[in-house]
Amino acid sequence: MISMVRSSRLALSAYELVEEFRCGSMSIEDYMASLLERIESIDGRINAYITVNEHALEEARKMDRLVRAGSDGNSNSGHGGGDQALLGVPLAVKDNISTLGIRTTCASRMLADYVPVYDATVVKRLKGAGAIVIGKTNMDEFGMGSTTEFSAFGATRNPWKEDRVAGGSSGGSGAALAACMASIALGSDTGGSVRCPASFCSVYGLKPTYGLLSRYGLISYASSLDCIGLMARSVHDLALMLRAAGRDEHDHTSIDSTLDLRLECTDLKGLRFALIKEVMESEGMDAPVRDCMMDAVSSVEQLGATVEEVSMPVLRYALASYYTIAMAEASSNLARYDGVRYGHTMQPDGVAWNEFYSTIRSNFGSEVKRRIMLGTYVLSSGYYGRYYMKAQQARALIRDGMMMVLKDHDAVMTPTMPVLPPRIGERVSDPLRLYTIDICTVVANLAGIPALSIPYSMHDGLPIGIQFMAGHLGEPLLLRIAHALESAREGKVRRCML
Amino acid sequence: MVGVEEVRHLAHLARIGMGDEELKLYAGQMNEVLAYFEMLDELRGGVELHRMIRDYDEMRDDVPCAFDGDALSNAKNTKGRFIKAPRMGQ
Amino acid sequence: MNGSADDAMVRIGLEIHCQLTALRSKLFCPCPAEYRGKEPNTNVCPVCLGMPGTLPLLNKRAVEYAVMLALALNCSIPERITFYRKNYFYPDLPKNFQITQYNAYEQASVGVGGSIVLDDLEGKRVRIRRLQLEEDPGRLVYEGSIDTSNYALVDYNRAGVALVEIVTEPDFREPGEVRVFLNMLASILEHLGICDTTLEGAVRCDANVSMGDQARVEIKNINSFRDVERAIAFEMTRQRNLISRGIEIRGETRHWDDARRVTVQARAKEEEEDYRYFPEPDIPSIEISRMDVEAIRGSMPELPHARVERFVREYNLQRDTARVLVGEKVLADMLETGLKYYNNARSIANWIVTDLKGYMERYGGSGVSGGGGNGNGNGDGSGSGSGSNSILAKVTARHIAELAMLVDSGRINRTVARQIMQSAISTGILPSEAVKSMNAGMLSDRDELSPIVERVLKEERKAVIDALSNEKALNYLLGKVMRYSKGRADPRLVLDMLRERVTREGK
Repeated sequence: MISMVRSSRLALSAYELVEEFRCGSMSIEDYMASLLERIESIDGRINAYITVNEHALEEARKMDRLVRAGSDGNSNSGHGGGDQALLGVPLAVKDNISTLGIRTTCASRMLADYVPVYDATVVKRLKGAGAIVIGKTNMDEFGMGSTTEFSAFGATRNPWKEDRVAGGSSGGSGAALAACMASIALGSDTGGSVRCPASFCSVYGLKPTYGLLSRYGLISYASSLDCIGLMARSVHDLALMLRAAGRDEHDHTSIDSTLDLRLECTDLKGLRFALIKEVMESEGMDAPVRDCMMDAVSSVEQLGATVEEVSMPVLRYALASYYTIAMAEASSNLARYDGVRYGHTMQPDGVAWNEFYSTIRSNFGSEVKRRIMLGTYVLSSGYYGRYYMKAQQARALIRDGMMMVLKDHDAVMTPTMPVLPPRIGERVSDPLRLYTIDICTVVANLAGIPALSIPYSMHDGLPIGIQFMAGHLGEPLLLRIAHALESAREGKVRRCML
Repeated sequence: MVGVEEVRHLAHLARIGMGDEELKLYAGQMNEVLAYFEMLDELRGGVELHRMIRDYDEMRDDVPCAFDGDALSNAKNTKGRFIKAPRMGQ
Repeated sequence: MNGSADDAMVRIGLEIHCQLTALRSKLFCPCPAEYRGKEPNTNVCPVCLGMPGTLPLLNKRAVEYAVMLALALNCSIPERITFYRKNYFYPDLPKNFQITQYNAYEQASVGVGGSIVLDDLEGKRVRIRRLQLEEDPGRLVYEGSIDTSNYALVDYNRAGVALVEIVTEPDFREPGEVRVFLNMLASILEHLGICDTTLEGAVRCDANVSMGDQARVEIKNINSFRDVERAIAFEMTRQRNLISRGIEIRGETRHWDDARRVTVQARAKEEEEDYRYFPEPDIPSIEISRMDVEAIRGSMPELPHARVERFVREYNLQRDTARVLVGEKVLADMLETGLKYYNNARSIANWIVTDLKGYMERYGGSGVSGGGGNGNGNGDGSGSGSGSNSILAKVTARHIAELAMLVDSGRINRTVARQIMQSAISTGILPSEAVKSMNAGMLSDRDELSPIVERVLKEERKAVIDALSNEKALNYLLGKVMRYSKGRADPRLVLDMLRERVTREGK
């Protein structure tokens, strides 16, 4: 017998939820049913989910049985081995992260009915910690976009103001958290795709150090920049999710880590932050964002940090470098979608091979096609040295520049997005103009360093996030900063609708 | 500047079917983006590129393990155990 | 155009693909490397099928084997190797790019700048441009022919198997030199134990041919080592004919049609400049320290050159004999195993080189068999059966050693020995056993043998007279008796009888 839980409960953080489930004050099944009910009632408007896991309720029931077995003294459930730190927590997974038996579309017609035969490592690890996949979230096709408008399944609306975009490309995950349709969420971040929707939806979005979270099962957009990112409504939840970190034998680019993720310190004493002059002076920044940034600077100063401005002229090349590399890698990574082994297809009988491939692949969306074409161009033999090689040089310079800044400073502070969430349809028609809003986020991907978007304030009902970037494996520091601001700004910033 | 014919060749290399109108549209948009990328050409060489490096010993051990599952369950065009693909003739 | 077609300088280069058949798993995934004889698409996993989200996992042992081969070919090994993507669409290529290596932007491949000296060509040196690791594509199968079939059938069992590609400089001048090189290479592969060259499709070879300052023509789809010579010879003739008629040679890729034994223009595929090579971002650059290289060098088995020298030194063999043996590792191994049964290297070596090798050549192509398409995998080669293998399945080192010992000890003569060899090839019977059963049916009765001996003495008067002063003539007479008795006569008894009779004649 399912009884609905109070809707305010749907706003609980994962760590609070786990406590409730553990002590038995609420059943996982009831909670899951309420959540599914909410998705049913509001997601028709928001469009955060592409697929809802039809086994979610059943898995919740199974988890309840484990809890009961545990309270009977049989605590060693053996489920996934771990300490069940995410016991029963509903997890939204971006639809470019492979889930065994649950279709994974990348928001593309090309993969509309593709069902993975394996779980991504990060999904596997979070499930092992007790999380339940509630559904697969909407996104820009293959992660290519910053607004979740380039989805074959329609745009995701911003829960705070439904005529606005939710950000992208992990817009579905951001919206699902803000609208309380999930407790924690996975996104992916190639040039800001977790931090942008986190900022636009007023939740936390962490892009970890490159390689900290295994990419196995993350459907590649640009391999050297791609990271699975973590999204949550509390800093504590991010720390819980980071249990999925660490070396994975399925990913040669994954790295070892032993992170101390205890959240004890609530001040920022002794920390030195850098503002980047070129970012602060950029013309493309909306005034409310600039004001918010200045306010954030005084907040961190009040918490004991010192803030200085540094100059990094090489950032002028960041967007060109980022897009050149991303498009080049994408043009190769997306070559496999040809209708032969999986995905959208047609009968091959009597069709010449070039025609078969070209017909199948014309089903990519316009932005994906544009990036594949540009990527094909910049890798062509005559242009490799002029674009791809130079983009790699710029990347090395930016990386070195960030390392220099982070030698003297603990973190770099920028707005996450230079603009407020645009209206749906406002930017999508002008590719180049759309690309420019990624200016603050691409830097961390180029440098391979961690970056966290922190929900800071609202302007006119629209969320504004602040980004902190730290050095290699600086995740504990980023969490400390977020934790201090979270404590200091308690009640000043909302992280969900309920 | 890329011309329509070059875009046609790129579309062939990428195997993306495009009509003449689409080719023209893409040529225009690509030129706009490429003009922006042009700034990269200001950079002069002599920069040490960054690359992830691992010792060969950290690579995978040569231990065979057959996949447990039907890796081709998503294939729709099949004949017996074979996958059906377009023929390679012209 | 320089000079006439006949004295234009011919340049022939090779690109050889060798599967590392000694590996247990594929190059980038743990699927078993052994794909032969399996049901289609049963030797695959998400990684080698290029399923979304999967990443390549480099086989450490593959790097070691490639380094071994690079060292054997005197290449230098960069301290850091990098994989590249070669982008082109083909249904046998699951990701529509091949993970390979590429040296245009840096020295990225496992081996660079090697060379090999060919003793059989008076010490000619062939330069190796590079040696690289790459993945094998799957296989396309057509019902009927490629031109009549309505679709292709794909089997990905082979996709992702480790290949080493060896690219030579265009240092060959004629097809015969290519054969000598390929035999040498096969012997090196066999000695290193990294590639069983007798497996169908384990070794494939593309060739390129140019005349004088004319354009270079690539020949692909050559399915056996023997066809490499034929294809190059055909292509040289074709180009000479064109040049003599004043027609310029076009730079192009041609396919070897092994049924018609001609090269034909290949369907246009992507051109080299369209492959859009770039460093594989899913695999870090791999560091191979000098210590690692030395450790790998130290673990290498003896190479052919060294083995020839050792055979000459230790076993007192003729250098030519040693080379023939080492040229096919199985033969050299047979000698060394045979020594356990009969410690007379020269005698065993002679049996192998003169008799066994003759049988092997008669019963099917000796040496490496090819098959299985070219490096780009668009071939469905049918390998040549190897009859020589079936001989070696029956005739072992012990057979040869016993045979040599039986003859050397005078228990049988060579005629009988050859008969024993013949029955060993068909039944695998050991010579010692064969002699026993022959003894059972042996003519060892003086009364039965006497008519035959008398007949020979009558027919061979001259030999009888010679035999009075020359023991060798006696052997000749013995041979005659053996022939007339269909090998059943007891040779010792016959010799006794002949001696008595000859002595009597002399009185």
